[in-house]
Amino acid sequence: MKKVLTVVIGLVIGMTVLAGYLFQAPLGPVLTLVVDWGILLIGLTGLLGIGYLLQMHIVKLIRCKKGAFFSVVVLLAFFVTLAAGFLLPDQNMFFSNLILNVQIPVEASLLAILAVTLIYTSLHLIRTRGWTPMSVGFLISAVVTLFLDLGYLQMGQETFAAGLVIFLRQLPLVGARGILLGMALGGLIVGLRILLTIDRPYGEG
Amino acid sequence: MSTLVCSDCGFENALAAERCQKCGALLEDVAAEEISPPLQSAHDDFDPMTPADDDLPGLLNALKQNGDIGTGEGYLSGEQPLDSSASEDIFDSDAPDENEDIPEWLQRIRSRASEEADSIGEITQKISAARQSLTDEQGSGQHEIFQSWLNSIRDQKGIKEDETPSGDVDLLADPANGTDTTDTTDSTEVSDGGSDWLSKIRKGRGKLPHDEIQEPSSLDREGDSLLQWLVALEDGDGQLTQYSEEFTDKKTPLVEKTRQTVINHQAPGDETKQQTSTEALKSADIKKPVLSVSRSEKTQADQLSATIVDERTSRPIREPSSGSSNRLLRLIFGVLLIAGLSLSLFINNDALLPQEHLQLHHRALLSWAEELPPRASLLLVFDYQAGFNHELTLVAKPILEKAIQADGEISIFASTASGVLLSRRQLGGLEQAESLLINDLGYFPVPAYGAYRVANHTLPDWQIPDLPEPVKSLPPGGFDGILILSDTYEGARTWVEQLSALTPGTPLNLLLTAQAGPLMMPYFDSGQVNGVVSGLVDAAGVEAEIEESSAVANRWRAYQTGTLMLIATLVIGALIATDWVGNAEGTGPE
Repeated sequence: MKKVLTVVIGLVIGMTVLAGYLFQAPLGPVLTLVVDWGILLIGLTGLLGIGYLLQMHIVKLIRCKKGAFFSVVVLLAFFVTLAAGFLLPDQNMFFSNLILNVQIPVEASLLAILAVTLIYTSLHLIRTRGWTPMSVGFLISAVVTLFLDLGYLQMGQETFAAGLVIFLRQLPLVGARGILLGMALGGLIVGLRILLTIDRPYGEG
Repeated sequence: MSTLVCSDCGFENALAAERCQKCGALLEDVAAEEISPPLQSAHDDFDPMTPADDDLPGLLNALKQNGDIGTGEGYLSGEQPLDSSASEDIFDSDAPDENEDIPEWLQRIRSRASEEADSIGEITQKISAARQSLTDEQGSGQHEIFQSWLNSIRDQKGIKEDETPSGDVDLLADPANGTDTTDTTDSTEVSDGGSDWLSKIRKGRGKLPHDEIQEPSSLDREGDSLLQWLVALEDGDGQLTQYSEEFTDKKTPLVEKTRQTVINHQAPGDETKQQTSTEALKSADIKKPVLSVSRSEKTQADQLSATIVDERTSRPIREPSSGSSNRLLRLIFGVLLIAGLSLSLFINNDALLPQEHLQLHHRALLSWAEELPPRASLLLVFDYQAGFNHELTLVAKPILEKAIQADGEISIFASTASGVLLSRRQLGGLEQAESLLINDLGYFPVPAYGAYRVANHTLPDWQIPDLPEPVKSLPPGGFDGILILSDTYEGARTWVEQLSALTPGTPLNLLLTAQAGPLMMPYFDSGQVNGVVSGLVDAAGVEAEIEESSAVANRWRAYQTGTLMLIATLVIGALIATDWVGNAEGTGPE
């Protein structure tokens, strides 16, 4: 009974949302309500996640486990941010700088590390595979693409070199189109499988 | 099976081996040779050990450790003669003399076998199943085939047909202690006293008691000596072979004696039957047991053997590279990178921006921004993480300054947690920031929900007046344009697909990071998106076209320096890396 109920709910909601694309005017209010419910549910799951995180760090702190110092930092930062968020409006410059002046450098540093890691991984690929057509192609395409973005090549509008540069710049778009077509077909099949209850991500089985 | 035979020592190596496992010589020039596997002997064909019985040694070891059974030598040497019905009665709790002379371990096993069906063990279950099927069958046809097969084995062993009267009589001989079964009375006593199960099987097959002497089944022989066979198997192949040879050697004289006994006890009619059946057996085709291996089993076996070969293959030992030189190299590279980027950032003269980077999608976005009507209503979607703030600021600032008018109405919508704060910072840097009228629509955790909600302007049904709304109300007249600022193509794609389907009349424009730009270009080609600007390179082209800002020009030289260093790192690193590979191939276990 439980399985049947979840299947029926999933099927009805899915078909209603799908029909909303075709009959926007009559189904608009219903769909707006369904979307609002979804947003509320996601907000609640966020609260549950925050509560679980807090509980984990508090337990870690109480039992003096390894890494309890970092739990102190996390809890302190959380409660300071929470208090600032309740006391200060989001238009307040102090509150904005308090959050963003920490978050932006941290995330930018992680991105920089990611770039270095990608370079190292590409070199590791060449090291393990040696000089193969794939590794040579990868290296040449990376170097050519990076060099074209430097802006050193200044050419006329209708020269052969300009046409070649434009062709090389459009090469990634070919791959992008292939990826997007694959994603669209995959999404279509997954959507149909869910609507036909072949796949049931909302329940067992 | 293909192997690599070493030209120096003749050792057979696996195909994947680069060096000989025995002498370490290089096998690069050695061609693979096809070597057929050794022929199986008759004993191998009759090997009753199935792959599933691999756990038997473990079982025997466990029994030994508990002191429940002795070692195999005792059984083999005859010091502790094994009861012929012992292995049968181990799990047979219905035996008449159950409580007499039964050791404790046997009682434990019996009680467990009566409680758990699986505890009997696979081989015992198989024996029981085989015994049951033997009882059910009309055994004559199959039995004759089996006898003919036994005869063929004897032929291969050099036993002449005239010396072996029938294949089943000699099985009465006791190979372990050489019990003389020439006396019919003795053999009958052995049969009656020792194996009640044997009588049951024979009765099930319709054999009279006197037939037991003439046609005991060879399966019975296996059942009698099951434990002996297990012990011998556990003690090693050598002892097992010795045991088998001993069995073969002792068989021939016993067979001759037994043959005489059987002839003496046979009735005239029985003799005729025996001769007839022997002739029929001679003319019958010899059928060997067929070993059926499925394809999946063969594949698994191949994988296992390949894994074993791969594990045993000698690998080149890489000599640890000199750590100090590597460290020095990294230090030099790091210093150069940081110094170059810092210097190029601190040099404050504006670089010459490339002009030809401005393309069709850039021009379309600029045209849309210039042609917006006065007091236009715009929606800005902030769908990027804080780490991309600097890049997107450089991309978006010239466009926003052109598109946002001093008295225009701006709605902002965030689909990342820090999106609202980032929008404040982004709009606060504009020239017309103080006079902007900003309508904050809040944060939507899922971009698809946000896009769906933006596209549907209708209010939801069943509203409860006193409760706060989960979503702020949207402008009733819709938007004159939507600008999506995104750092990933997943988020941008969701917004574009939903909004272009639900509000096809509203122009969509994308301000993206360099990583998201290429994947969103097909949406511009299809007409779903009005214009796209992505990354620092596109921003440089736009700034060069507008000529009103120098934010990109200040950083362009640092961008060029960093990219050049990246190219150099890739090229030099690739050359060094492949050189390492070449060096590593030359080093091996000498």
